[in-house]
Order: sequence, then structure tokens, then C-alpha cells
Amino acid sequence: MSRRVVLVRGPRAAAGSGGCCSGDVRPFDEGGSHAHAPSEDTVAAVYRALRAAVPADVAVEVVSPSNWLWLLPALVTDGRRRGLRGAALRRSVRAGMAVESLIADGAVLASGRLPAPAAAVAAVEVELGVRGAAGSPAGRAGEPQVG
Amino acid sequence: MDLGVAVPAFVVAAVVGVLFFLGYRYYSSYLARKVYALDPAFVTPAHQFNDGNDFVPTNKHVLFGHHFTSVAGAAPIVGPAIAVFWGWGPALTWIVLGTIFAAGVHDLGALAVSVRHKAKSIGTLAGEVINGRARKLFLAIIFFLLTLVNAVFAVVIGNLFVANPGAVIPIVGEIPLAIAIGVYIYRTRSSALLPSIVGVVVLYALILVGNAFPISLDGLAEALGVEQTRNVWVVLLFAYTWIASRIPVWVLLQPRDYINSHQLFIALGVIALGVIVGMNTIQAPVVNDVPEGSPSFFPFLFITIACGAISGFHSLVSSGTTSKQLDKESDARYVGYMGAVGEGSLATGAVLAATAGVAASQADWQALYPDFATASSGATGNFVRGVAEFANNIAIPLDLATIFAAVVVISFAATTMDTGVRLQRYVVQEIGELVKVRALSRNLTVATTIAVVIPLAMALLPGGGEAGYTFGVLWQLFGTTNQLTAGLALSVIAVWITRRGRNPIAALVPLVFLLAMTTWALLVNLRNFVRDDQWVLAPLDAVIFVLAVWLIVEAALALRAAHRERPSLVDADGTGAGRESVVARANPDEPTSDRPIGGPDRDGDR
Repeated sequence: MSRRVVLVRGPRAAAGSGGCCSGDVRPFDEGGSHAHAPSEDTVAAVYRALRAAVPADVAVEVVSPSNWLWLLPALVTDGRRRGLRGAALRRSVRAGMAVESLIADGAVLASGRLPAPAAAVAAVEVELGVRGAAGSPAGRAGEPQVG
Repeated sequence: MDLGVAVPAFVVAAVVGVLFFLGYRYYSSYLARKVYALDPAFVTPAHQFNDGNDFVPTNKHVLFGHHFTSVAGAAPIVGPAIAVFWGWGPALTWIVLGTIFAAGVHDLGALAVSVRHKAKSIGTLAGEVINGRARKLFLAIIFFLLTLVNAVFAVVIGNLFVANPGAVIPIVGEIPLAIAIGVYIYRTRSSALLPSIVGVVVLYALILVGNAFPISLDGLAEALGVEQTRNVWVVLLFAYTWIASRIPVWVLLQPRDYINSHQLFIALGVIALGVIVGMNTIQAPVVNDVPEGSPSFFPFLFITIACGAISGFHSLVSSGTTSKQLDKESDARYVGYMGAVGEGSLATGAVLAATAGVAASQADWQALYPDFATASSGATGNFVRGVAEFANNIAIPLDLATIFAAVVVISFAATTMDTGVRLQRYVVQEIGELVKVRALSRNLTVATTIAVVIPLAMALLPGGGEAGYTFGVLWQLFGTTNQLTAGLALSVIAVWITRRGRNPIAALVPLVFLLAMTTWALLVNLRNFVRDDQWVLAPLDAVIFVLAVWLIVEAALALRAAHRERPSLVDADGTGAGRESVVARANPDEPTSDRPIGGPDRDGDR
């Protein structure tokens, strides 16, 4: 199973859609007023730093918090793979579903607010490094460790 | 036509499911390999311009979640619920064939072409691949489409509020509920899942309150001297959207979307479970013997069912946000084609609800669909009653189930309208920039007011003397405009395919079919409007007809030029289709192959 880091977008950055015949379409995105992308996005900065730092075989996914259909099973699967069960798994999943959270191989490193890009990279590298060195997924108890 | 035996709804659902599976398995594979030549090695814009914000390489399952929830809404429910007037056979046939051979080609194609052009939007691509006039044409069509979307959904919601006064409290209550969730998530920065699930539970609890305290505006309408109560609702709805479209999306729109995303799956689950548990049978005729003077299903069926068979707006989502996040070009097959299949599945559910759920016998059904005016005005109500029956099969009391179904449709329609007015404001601002009127482009109040007043006027316009007629007409105008958008996207796709020396037949067939049906319907409508002295609808129809003819001319010229260009492209590298893989390996932006036909645009809009 390949390693994966998941970044959950903030509340402003999620796509504001409205179903068929509307949606966050931005059709005139070359200088038109549809180009209303947020100017500052903390997730973007952390994502860029992570993508530059972590090995290419580590997937870095940016997920909208509303995309629970993917996020929930991913958190449960990765958490279980780390050996989390019961209340610990539930706490981990809940923390991971929060906006602006950072999850590395099921370990919730930040929940509710992202650290600075350098700190995020360091935390992820330690996490991935620990897994690689120890060979055991059951490190910490799955609680949010940063932020 | 009657089969003489009532067909079980779950058998129809299963057959459609198998056909969709075969369409995905085989036809989308053909499109991916032979028509769009999707190349997993192509460096997509998500990688090329990766900014962690709009351009992010995204897992295909994550991206499918974004794409499907952005395209699925109330429209694939409303169109099919009207179109079963011609019988469930033609409606379902168009949904299945349209999804497999038109929507899939269109949605996947818009995604593939956009990815090959720096993830630019289909409007910009129309300017690049065809010419600058095509881009202006696109802007005009979008303006009409949004106007009609907003007008149509105001009428849908107004009708549903009048027919289901018990839905008023849950729907109105959803607004502060969504705001509370939005603010809670924003302030605490916690998970959206739990609050939005609590939101759905509270919303459904409000159904009990709504059932106990139904709210009718009949008295207010009478006091104001308004003939139809629906119109009072329409005015209130536009007053609300004027405010809602100006507040940040995270306050109301996004949290309501969270709630709706749960409702989408709950409704699909209820329909699926209901038809299996209840063993409902389809009571409508396969082909309905419609009364004389009714619109014929050729061409009107094909514009009545727009979303659910093919929807032009899907190309906006495909090329607007989805193409910027595509990790591998080959993922476009799964994301784009499956998005169309998902929409087709929702439309199939709508057909089943309006034929199998809504009536216990064929006589009951005929009473609900006696003529086109009644069918169109009562269609969403019929869907609501049908879904309520399915919900009743799984032990939900019928009165509560009816409000539940109404709440699902109204929530979808309200969110669509909310976003529609917001987008219309952007279009008004963009038009203001084009015509250099600062009051339009810079003044938010002026732009929002225009975005609200035009569809409001359309929703209130009288038509035909029967309560539902205006809505039936509006829906057809919506369908024609939406199909024109799809036609423009398909013409861009067809030109793009032709220039690469590949067989464009997969895009040309739905393109020609859509344009033929659209112009035919517009002409018939125009004749009827003039005959009936409909001097609001007639000019509007005429304008859309002109846009359609303009599109046909542009598409024909572009295709002819592309066809002429094709041999030289083949000569240039000696391979034709192989040229694509050369381009893919080098991964340039293909600036030379898609110069606007007729030279650079001189209109100054690029």
C-alpha cells in the first residue's frame, strides 16, 4: 500500500456548488470576473511545501471537507492500518475530518488549523520517517499532534 | 401503447443499470482510446501549473466526488418528470441513449479538450478553437441559460410551496440552520460531517413541525390582489436570493451544499430501496397516446429532458474546476463519463417516481398527465408523490414522506437558484466590462439587481391562460438554451477531434441531433407564440433561434476549415492520430494546432 498525506481544505476554499446547471463553474477564467479564487490559501502553501519535500511515491491529496464519501473511509482505513480501534479511531477520524487538517498515513498531525509549511513538512517527514524506520504503524494513539 | 402487463420498476432500473455499465465499460473505453486518445503520460495542467489552490493533481475518486456533486441537482428530476407525458418508453430511451452516446461524449470531451489546453474553460476554448465570435456567442447563451434557470427554479419552488405548505417551515428553517453550521465550521474549524449530519436530522425533524403547522400564503396573495399564490412565493424567493447571492459562500451556500450532498444520496437510496421493497410497477403507458394539439415528442422530448440526458452546463464544470484537478489524463474517462452516468441514474429515478410511484393504476396516472399543461405544471409534484410512495414502502408515514420528498427537491432547486443568481451577477459584471459600463461591472448592487429582476420578470410573465403553461414553456426554453450550450461545447470538441485527424463521428452525431431538435422546437414554438400573441415569449424564442442558427453557421465553418486543415497536419508528421502522442510526450500547449479559424481574433476580447 503506497503512503499518503491528506490535506483537508478550509471552509472558504471548498467548491460552492449548487447542482446541475449551476456549480462553481468559473467559465470566464481569463481575466473575467468569474475568476474569484481566494488570494490567500493556507492549504495551498502547505501543499506546495509538502509536494516539494516528500518523495514522489507519497500521494498528497487535497480534499474538500464536504467530500466525506471519500474522506471518511480513507480515514477509517488508514487509522485501522495504524492499529487504531474503538474510541481512539473515532477521535482520530473526527479530528481528521475537520477543516484544515493534515493527515499522514492515518496519523492526524493537525486538526482545525494548519501549521506553517515548514512545520507541516517536518511533522510529515518525521511521521513517514518513523513509519519507515520502525516498520510498525502503531506509533502514537492517533490523536491530533500539531495545532 | 400498452404492454398489457405492468412492468416492475426494479426490473427497469436493473436493465438501465446494466446498459449504463456497458456504456461505461465499452463506449467510454472507445472514446478514451480512439477519439480523445487519453494518454496517462501527458503532464496535466494540475501538474503543470500546480498551485495547491485551483490546480491540484487529485485522486480520481476525490475528483469524482467534486464533479458529481457539482453537476447533480434538481434539473435531472424536473425534466424527466415532465417528459413521461409522452410515455416512459421514449423518456427512458432518451435518458439511456443520451447519457451513453451524448452526455458521456460531451462531459468527457469537454474535460479532455480543456486538459489539453491548460485547463481553460469551454468559453475561452470556443474563442481559441473556433473564433472570438464563438466566445461572445457562448456568453450570450450563458446569460440566457442562467436567466431561465433562475426563473424556472423560482416557479418550481413556488409551485411546490403552494402544493406542500408543510415544506415551508423545514425549507425556511434550513436557512438559519445552514448559516449556523457555516459559522460553526468557520469559527471552530471542525469537521463538516457531524454538523451537516445533525443539520439533516434537524431538517427532517422540522418536517414534523411543518406537517403540524403548514404555511399557506393564499390569504396574503388575496390581500395583495395577486391571482396566483405562486407568484407571491416567486417574489419572496428573488428577494431572498438578492441577499443570499451577496453574502460569502461559506456562510450559507457551502453548508447548505453539505446538507444537500447527504440528501442526494438519501433520496437515491430511498428510490432504490423503495422500488425493491415495494415491488412497484410502472402504471404509465410505454408510449402515451397524447391528446391532439399536444407538443409532439419529436422534437420536444429531447429538449424537455436536458440534464439527465445531456446538459451543456456540465461542460462548464468539466472545463471550469474539474480539468484543473485531473491527476492523469486517463482519469478523465472515469470522472467525466461516470459523472454523466450518475446524472442519468438520477433522471431514471425521476422517471420511475413519476410513473411507478405516483399512481396505483393507469387511470390514476392518466388523470395526472391528461394534457401537456397539467403534466408540466404538476410534474415536480408528481415526482414528490412518487418518491413519497417509495419512502412509504420503507415504513415512513405518507404525509411525512411527501414533505420529505418536497424538501429534497426544494433544497436542490433553492441551492441551484442561489448559485444561479450569483453566477448571473458575474455574467452581468462581465458584460459590463465588455461594453465598458462601470455601473454594471463595478457596482454590486446594480449588477445583482439586474441579475434578479430579469428572471423575476420572466417567472411572473403570464402565458397561455392556464396556470402551468408558462412553466411548461419556460422549461422548454431552458432546455433549448441548455442544449445550445451543449451544442457549442460539442462543436468545439468536434473541431478539436477533426484537426487531430481522428474520427469525429462520436461528437458529430449528438451535435447534429441536438441542433436539429433545438432549432425545430424553437421554430414550432415561435410559430405558436406569434399565433397566440405571446409577445414576451416570441422575441425571446426568436433571439435563442438566432443564437442557434449562429451556432450552426460557426460550427459548420469551423468543421469545414478543420477538415481542410487535417491533411496538412497528417502530412506534417506523417501519422495523423500518432501526432497526438508526439504532442503528448513533448507536452506543449499546442498553440499552433488550435489557432482560431480565420486567423487571430480581431474583436479585442482575447
